[in-house]
Amino acid sequence: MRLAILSLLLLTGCSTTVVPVTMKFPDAPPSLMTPAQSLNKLPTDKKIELADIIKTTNENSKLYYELKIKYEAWQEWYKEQKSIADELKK
Amino acid sequence: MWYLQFMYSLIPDSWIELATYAIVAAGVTLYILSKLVAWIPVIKTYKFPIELLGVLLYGIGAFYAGGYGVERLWRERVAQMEAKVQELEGRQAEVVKVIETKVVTKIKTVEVVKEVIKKEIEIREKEINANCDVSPAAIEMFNKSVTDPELLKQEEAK
Repeated sequence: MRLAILSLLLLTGCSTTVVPVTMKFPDAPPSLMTPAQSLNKLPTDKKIELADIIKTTNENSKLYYELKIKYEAWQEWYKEQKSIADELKK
Repeated sequence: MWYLQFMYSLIPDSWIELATYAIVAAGVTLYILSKLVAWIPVIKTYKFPIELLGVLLYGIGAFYAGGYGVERLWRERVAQMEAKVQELEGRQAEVVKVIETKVVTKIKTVEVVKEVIKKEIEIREKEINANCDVSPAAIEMFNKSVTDPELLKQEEAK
């Protein structure tokens, strides 16, 4: 009986705890770290024609599509990195 | 103290494991023996010391055996986790590389397409501008619409 109680007490030390191994925070793709540009405005110091407006709109839409690509890339980066980080917990 | 740890590290793990189990076995044997000596008249006076020694040896042996077992399991688990982390960190870097390549390629496509449109506008400039006057109000509104709303709010507040 004494031996059984002693065994039980000694075995309480054999509990499991979390292993102190951590993964470094993932890097972001360098192209996603560039700051967003402001949209282009029409010059006010010269005569503006319809072609100038279309050209500026074209430039602005270029900026928009670049940001859209980066925005989607951030979402993809997050999903992928999260799934990798979740694998460590399994 | 370091030399004790150094000396300890020189002893093979299997020897330490064997020694701990031997202490446990000795403890259990002495305990059983203490129950048997009760029937032998000459040495029955030693029953209690033998029992006590048996329990003590069992306790010490079980403590070290358990500690050693937990330590070994712990080290194995850490090694497994480190290997997994290394593999996952490799995959993290691979994801970054793939996304970077994708972004650069897509932006290049956008730049090429927008350049083609710009050239087309320049070619058809006269046709576009024919019969169309742009009023200063239209320019003002255009510039206002492309201004950062926060900046616009600040400017309006002044």
